[in-house]
Amino acid sequence: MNTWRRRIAKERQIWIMTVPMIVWVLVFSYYPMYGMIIAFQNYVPGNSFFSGDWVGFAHFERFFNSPDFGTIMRNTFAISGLNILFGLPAPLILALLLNELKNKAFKRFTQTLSYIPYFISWVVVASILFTLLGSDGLLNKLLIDFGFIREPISFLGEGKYFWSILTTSNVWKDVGFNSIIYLSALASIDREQIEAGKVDGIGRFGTVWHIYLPGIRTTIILLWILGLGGILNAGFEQQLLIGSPTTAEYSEVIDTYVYKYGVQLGYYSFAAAVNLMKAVVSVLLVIGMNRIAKKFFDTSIL
Amino acid sequence: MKKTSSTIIAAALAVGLLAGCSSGQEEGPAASPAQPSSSGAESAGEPNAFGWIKPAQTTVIDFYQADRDNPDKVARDTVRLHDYLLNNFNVDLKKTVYDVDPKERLNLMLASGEYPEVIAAMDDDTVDKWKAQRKIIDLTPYVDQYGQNIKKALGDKYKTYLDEDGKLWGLPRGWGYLPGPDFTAHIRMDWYEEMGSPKIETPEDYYEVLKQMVAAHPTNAQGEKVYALSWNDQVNINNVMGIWGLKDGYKEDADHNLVHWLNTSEGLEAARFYNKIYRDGLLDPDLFINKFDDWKTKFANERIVGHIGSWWHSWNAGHEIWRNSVPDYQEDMRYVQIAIKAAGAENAYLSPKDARGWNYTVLTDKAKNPEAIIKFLDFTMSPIGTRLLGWGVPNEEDSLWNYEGDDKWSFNEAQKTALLDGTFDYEKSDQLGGNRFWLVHGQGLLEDDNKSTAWYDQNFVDEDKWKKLMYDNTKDTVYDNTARRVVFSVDNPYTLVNQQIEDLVKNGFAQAVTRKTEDEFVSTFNELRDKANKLGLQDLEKYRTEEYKKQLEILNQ
Repeated sequence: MNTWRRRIAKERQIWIMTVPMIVWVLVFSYYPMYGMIIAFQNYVPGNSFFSGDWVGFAHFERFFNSPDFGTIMRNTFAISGLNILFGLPAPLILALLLNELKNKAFKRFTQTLSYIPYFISWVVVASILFTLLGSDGLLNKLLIDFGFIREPISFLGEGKYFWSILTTSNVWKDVGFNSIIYLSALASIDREQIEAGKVDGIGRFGTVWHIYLPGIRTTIILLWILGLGGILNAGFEQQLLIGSPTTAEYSEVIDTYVYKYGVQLGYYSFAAAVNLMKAVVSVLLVIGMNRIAKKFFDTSIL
Repeated sequence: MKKTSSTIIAAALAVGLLAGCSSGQEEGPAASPAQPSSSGAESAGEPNAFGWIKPAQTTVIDFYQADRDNPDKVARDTVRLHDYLLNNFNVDLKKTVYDVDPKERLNLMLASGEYPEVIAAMDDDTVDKWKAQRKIIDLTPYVDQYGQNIKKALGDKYKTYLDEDGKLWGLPRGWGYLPGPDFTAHIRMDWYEEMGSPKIETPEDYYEVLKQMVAAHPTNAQGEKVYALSWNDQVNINNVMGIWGLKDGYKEDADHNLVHWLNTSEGLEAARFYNKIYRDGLLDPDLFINKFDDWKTKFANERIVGHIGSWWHSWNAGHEIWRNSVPDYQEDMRYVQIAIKAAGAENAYLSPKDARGWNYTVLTDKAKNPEAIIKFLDFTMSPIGTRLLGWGVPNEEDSLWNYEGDDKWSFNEAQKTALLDGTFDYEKSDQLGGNRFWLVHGQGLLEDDNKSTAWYDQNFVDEDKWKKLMYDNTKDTVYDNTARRVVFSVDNPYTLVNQQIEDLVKNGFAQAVTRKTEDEFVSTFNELRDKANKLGLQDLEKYRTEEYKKQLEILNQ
């Protein structure tokens, strides 16, 4: 106890500065959690959270038995999986490439250019996609003009294209911004190691493989763990803006389903049950991935 | 010293940040009055030309209309009538709309407790939900005391709006029966005449004509491909099914048993009709992506030769645009509304009419002066009140009508002529406020002359050759569907099932229509049907049948 007190006294400035964040997390992240109780009730909006009839796991069962269940889980895992598969290495590769640029002005310009899509809202991205990929869009016009197709392809109207369009736009939008964390990790690598590598003649690829990647291994693993923990976060606005009845079979994910049944239709209990299931699975995934990382790479976040 | 100062700075930072988290005091909801009391706005002075005695205190009706709409346009279109009512009636109508899903907005209002005194356009199940939460008030005592016009206008049907305890929770909007079409097939007239106006009776005839039209006009002036048919987000599958003899998506037998279109051969044929056009490459590939405005742009650009949808779609997106944009515009460059009926169907049931109205206007428990609000709502249900709210500001140069007082009124001849000539400026006339404050008035024929209606442009059907043609062509497709209303309330076990099936059907229909082969189409359709039945469609059919029969009994009493 004395050790704790001494430590807190020693780090008091840090703790005082942290107080607002701790309060913020308690108020906005932990306090609302009591609302999860409605997942086990027939809650009616406007009533107290404790006034609904208890129904146990009925809403969970309804979701698991619903014909939507399989489709929604498949879409969520597929979209998230593709995002992880392409979205996690892409900023790492971009950071490594940017790190190799010698001309500082060009490097800054390229970096800035790569961030811009991150700040474009999904509404604008959706309208760009409609302009590019619509039946009368640029891509169809080019394909027809060059004789590859005779009739326009409804890229946005056919479900089979949906995952690839979404993954591509996600990667395009986030690659620049997500590369920042890798760039900062790369900047922290000891220059002497790089110089030593040069002396040893390991070359550019050797430097990447033997110095850069091991040097930022902790960052990479951390981001992979967080990424896998969020595998059930497959997006939301993207699906709502780009999806349509013809692509719903491929675009409906847990978050859009929860939004539709909870916020739009007012079945709060059912939506809360679905979201609670998602949260539990996400926590289990984070813990599982953390253990794996600890066992195989001796790196963990918990 | 350094440590002390950094501790002070850190503490100041923490306190400063936390200070930002303080909250204001919340105002609790007003208690719901059980009985009408003094309105607090006693009338004073002489009645105005409409027979309305201005209240001494301004009656404020602050309402949210639960329709998705553009707030800027609504503000623009309501300003003149708002000022007119404030000056002549001492009634301050404050209308709020949002460009978001109204169901979502109402749910958030209910959950947060932030809602206005009056809410318009609330549907049955939402009324039920708000009633269960005691967030809306029983209007019976107020209507009993101040609602003479309301009772007179609704007549015997008034009692059908009361719940099992004899309480009235909402006043209907758009009630009454207007025997005009809502939903029709459309065809481009000038190109149809070019073809010698071949006879069109069945969907197959219709498609054949559309196909020939596309063959004659394969691209528009900009070289863009022309399609036989398209679709937009305002087109309802159930209405389309009417061509195949189904009523609002259900097949009805002589004993009033209902079967959903997915479980009928007619439903399969209807979906096949669209799939065939799709496979022929003549259905707009973006049909299920099109929002109304996307569709309107394609339509106005002469890229769609036919349409199955609301009658006004082709007016709004067709000749109303062309007459201002096409230099040598001829009046037959327009669409006409026609009725088509599948072979073997007893009738084409395209326009279901619910005489009970679209939805309701309710008073919430925050209403400070329900008596004064009901008094004004009662006025708007009188024939002259309906005219004022339906046709907008009278007695001005650009008004649609003139009012002398003592129930003497007349249409503005200049505006009427413009309407019949096709030069009527809808955009400008919207700003007179007609039907922009649609709180409780009806849409049927008004009781004092049995011919005028709140829809200004529907008052001259016999004199307007195009409207008359539409009415004549489609008169047999309009039917009374009042008894088919089902309330999916929060405690109804079919509510969630109904929603899941609606979603499934909407998506599944789109998928079936866009299959590339007949086999794929049939298998997708069958798969959709099986999925829906597994989800409980057949139970839902039974439930709807029971409710329908109950309603028929009530309405026939």
